[in-house]
Amino acid sequence: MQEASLQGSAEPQSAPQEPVSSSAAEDRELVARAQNGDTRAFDSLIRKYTPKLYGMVYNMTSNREDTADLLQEVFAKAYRSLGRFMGKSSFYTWIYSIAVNMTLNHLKKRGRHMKVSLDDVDTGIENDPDFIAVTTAKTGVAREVNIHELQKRLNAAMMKLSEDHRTVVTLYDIQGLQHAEISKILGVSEGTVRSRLFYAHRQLQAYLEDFVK
Amino acid sequence: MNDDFEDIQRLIRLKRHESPGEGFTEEFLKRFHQRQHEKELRQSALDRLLERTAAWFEDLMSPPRWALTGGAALVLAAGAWFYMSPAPENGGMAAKEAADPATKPPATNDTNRPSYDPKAMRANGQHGPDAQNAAPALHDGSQGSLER
Repeated sequence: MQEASLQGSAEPQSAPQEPVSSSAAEDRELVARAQNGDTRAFDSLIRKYTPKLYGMVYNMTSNREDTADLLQEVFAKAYRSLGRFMGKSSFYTWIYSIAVNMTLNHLKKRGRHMKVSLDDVDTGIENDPDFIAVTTAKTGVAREVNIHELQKRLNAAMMKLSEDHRTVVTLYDIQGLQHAEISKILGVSEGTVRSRLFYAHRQLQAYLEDFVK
Repeated sequence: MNDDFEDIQRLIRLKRHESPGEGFTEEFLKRFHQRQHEKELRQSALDRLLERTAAWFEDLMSPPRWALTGGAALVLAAGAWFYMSPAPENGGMAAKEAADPATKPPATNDTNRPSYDPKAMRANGQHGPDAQNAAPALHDGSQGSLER
C-alpha cells in the first residue's frame, strides 16, 4: 500500500499535554541562559521535559528503572552538547530526538532480554472519558474491567510491535504529538509516520480484539 | 479508516495513567546534580593524576640539581687549576717538538728508492721479479726442506 494513501490517522482528539511548541520562546531563553553557564536554567528545562520524556522512554522500554537511568543519560548528553545546539530546530525536537535515539540504541543492546517493570496506574483512569468509552463500547453498559489486567495486556501488545511502530504509537497516541512533530523528531516523512501508525494500529487491534469488541 | 481504530487509540491512550508518581521529577533532578558532581570530581581527579604523572616524568628526564651544581663546580675548578698552574720555562712541549728537526718525519719523495714500475723497468732493460730472478725457490730437497 502506498504511504500517500494512508491518511487514516487524524490528529489526536484530545492532546494529553500542552503543545510543546507553544513554549518554544521560553525554551529558547532558557537554552540561551544555560549556554551562558546558568545551571538553574538547565534545571528548568529538566523539570519541564522530564515528565514528557519519561512517558516516551517508559512506554518504549516497559521498565521504569531503565527509564530513569536512560533519562539521566539523555539529560547528561544534552547538557554536554548544549554548546553545539544552534537552535535550528526547537529544543523539544532536539531533546526528543536524543531521547528516541538513545532509547532505540538501548533496546537494540538489550535485545530479547527484557524485564518488565511497570509504574502504578493512577486512580484517575476510572474517570477518564476514554476508559468509560472503552468499557461501555457497543453494549452501552459498563463492563467490569480489571485495571491491572488491562495494563498488562496493553503493555504486552505494545511490546509485540516493532520498535519503529512502538515509537510512533507512543509519540502520537500516548504523548499526543502531531504528525509533523513526530516526522521532525524521527527524521522521516509525515507519510512514513502515518504509514507506521496505520500498521501499528492494525496490529494492536488484532492483539486487543477482546477489549475493543 | 479512522473510525476503525478509534477504540484501539482510546485504549492505548489509557497508558497515560501510568506514571512514576509525585515527586519523581525533583528526585530525578537531585540525582542528576549528584551524578554531574561525581563526574566533575572524577574528571578533576583524572586531571590531577595526569598533572602528577607529567611532573614525575619531567623530574625523571631532567638531571638532579645537585648533579648540575657539582658538574659546574668541577668545570670551574678544572679551569682554575689550568689557569693557575705555572707555564714551562722553554715553552710548551709542542713548541719544543716543532723546533727540533730530529723529530721531523722523513721525507717521502726519496728518488733513490727502487722503482718497480714495470714500464720504466722494461725501458731500462731490467726485468721485474719473474720465475728466474725470484727469491730462492725450493728447487731441490736440500734447501728449504722442512726436514732437517
